Amino acid sequence: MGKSLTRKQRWTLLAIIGVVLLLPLAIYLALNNSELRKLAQGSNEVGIKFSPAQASLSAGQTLDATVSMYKISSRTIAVSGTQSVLEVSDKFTINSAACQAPFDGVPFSKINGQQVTIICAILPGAAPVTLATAAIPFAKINLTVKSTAVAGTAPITYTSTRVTEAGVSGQAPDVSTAGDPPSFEIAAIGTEDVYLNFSPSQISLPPDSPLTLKVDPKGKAIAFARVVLTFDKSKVNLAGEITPTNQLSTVVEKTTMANANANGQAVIVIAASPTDTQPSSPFDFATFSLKAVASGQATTNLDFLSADMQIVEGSGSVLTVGTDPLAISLNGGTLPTVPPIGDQTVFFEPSTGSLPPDASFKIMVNGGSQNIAFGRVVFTFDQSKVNLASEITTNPNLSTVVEKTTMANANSQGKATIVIAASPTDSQPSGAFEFANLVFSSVASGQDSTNVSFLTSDMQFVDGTGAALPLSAGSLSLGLNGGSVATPTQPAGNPCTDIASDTCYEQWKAEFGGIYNTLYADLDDSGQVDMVDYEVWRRAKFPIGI
Amino acid sequence: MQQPITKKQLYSLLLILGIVLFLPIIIFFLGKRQDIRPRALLAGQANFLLDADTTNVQAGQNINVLVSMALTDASVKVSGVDFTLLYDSSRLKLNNVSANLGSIWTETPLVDAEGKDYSQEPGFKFARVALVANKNTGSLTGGTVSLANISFQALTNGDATIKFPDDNSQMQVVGIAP
Repeated sequence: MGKSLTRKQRWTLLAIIGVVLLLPLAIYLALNNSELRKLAQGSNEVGIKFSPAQASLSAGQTLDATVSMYKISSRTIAVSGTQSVLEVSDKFTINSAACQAPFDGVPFSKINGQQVTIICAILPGAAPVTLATAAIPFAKINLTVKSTAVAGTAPITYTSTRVTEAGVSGQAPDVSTAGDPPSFEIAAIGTEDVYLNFSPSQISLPPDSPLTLKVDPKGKAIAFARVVLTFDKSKVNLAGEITPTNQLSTVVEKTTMANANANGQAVIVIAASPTDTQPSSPFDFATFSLKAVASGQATTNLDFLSADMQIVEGSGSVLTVGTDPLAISLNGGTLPTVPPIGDQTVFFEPSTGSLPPDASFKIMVNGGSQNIAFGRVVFTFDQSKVNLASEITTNPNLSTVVEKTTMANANSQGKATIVIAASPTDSQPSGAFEFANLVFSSVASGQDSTNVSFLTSDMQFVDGTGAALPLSAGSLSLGLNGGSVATPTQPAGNPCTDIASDTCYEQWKAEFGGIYNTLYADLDDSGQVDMVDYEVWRRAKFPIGI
Repeated sequence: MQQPITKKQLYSLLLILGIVLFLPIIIFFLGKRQDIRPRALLAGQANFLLDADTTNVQAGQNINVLVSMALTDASVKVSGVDFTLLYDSSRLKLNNVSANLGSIWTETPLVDAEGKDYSQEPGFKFARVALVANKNTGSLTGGTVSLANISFQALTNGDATIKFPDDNSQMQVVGIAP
């Protein structure tokens, strides 16, 4: 007969079981509580913020930022001091950090690598500062964007904050939040605050040609501008004096024609007088004329010396500046193609064609102001319609040929890869330049059309500093045997049978953009092709952990 | 007199007790396992931000609006964004849309700057931009990211609205969350 437990034994057993089962829960909850305690250091009644809170900056630009505090809570708060420890992006050089009055009574600041510590307090015995919803500055930090800073975010984060409330007997409570980090962006080409270019954008000399230097302030009121132009004085000269705009009527400095032609450089510094209306819409900055002084065919540019330029808006903010040089043809020289900065990085020139006869097409790369040291280009074509008619030739200034698909292999696969790089003795090309040249031949029967497309997911351009160029590409549209230039055609099969493939990505782009109405790239079977499908592709292409 | 329980009754009691106590834990861990699988669509984890270079313009002047996005969780990384921006078509004209690729994004698979009417909200036109980062997960970015600069021209004096659609279904942010 089984032995029964007494009631006392039963309750003891139940108690032990309860402890064993509940213990993990208790530990879990305790851990959660300690995480919450770690996050909430101050009472979150006083915010700390940067001014400017957001800015787009360019390399070399200096920023004077103010750190301020402002009251969030509705109750009256008077403070005696504050401190912040900030981690500054390595895209900045930290020049200085200093406390501001009235919190400079007992100031302390320290710059340790990319970390800034500022501890600012009122003088002992001084009246505490009553905070308001309007920001009260307590420190100033001076930063310079490094010349090597790549485009993108330049974060500044708070690693610790404190705002000490005064007047609480026996206590020095911290009423701070965790701080509002600023949002600074290092501008990429084409996204600068102000844009300078010439009209016309390219000229042929002779005869002497009048030009207008134009400024697009993109809505910002311009109060001051220093513009520096450089040119090859052995090829072109100013044909007359520079005439600056009267919208900024104070002429601070203007190089004479004689000095400009002697030095190959012209400086124009103008500013708004008190009675001027600071221009915020596109305006003509200056006019002048150029003449050829070289004999024989040649090409040259009229460039901007951005490192010596500054444009300031009415509020005193220094603006980032984007520029577009002037392309000059001398005595019939052939001008290079210069698409506007910010447009396609890689494209075919021409972008359309009709075959036969066999035709030559350039693969152009627009590096902007970056010197390109490495380039990988991949393009695909329908080999049943067009073939390469000769071997691909490449730019001699990227003389190291790492990889280049032969004509035979390209025509067999319908795909070609070109990987070239600059050798130590090469002059790395910038602006728009010819990357490669190829000849296409029609192999289709009857009227037809087709496209040659870049496989951007398998392409890369890198400049001399190692920074990758943002990619956007244009395709080549071909009319065959009298057919009209190709319009996109839907694939016969499903390119996404291999989800991780580049062709699946191209299919996603076409379906997402509405070019195709198929759903091959609906990888999550949601009934539509959207960003979720893109992420599914990306995770397949780049598995986690690789 | 106390009635002792038999072993059979005790084991039954222990079984019931175990089920009652373990059930929440099982449910919790089952739920956690589903969450452990990284989510693709970062719904509710991104705030879209607008920053205009000026809020007081005269007719004919330009306004430049910086569109950015702040991820609310520091551990979340973004790989793609598709956003639509609406503007008061009676007060504003779309000048241009410039995606901010920078070092975060690799491509803009879609930019719609035609300034078409937004049928779901009469009186508004729209611009749409999609950006992707074709990178492995370790190279993705989190925090606050810049998306695009969009320029408008004021058609008349007065107040004008630039906003995101009331219906968030037009906005998608994808990436990887822990």
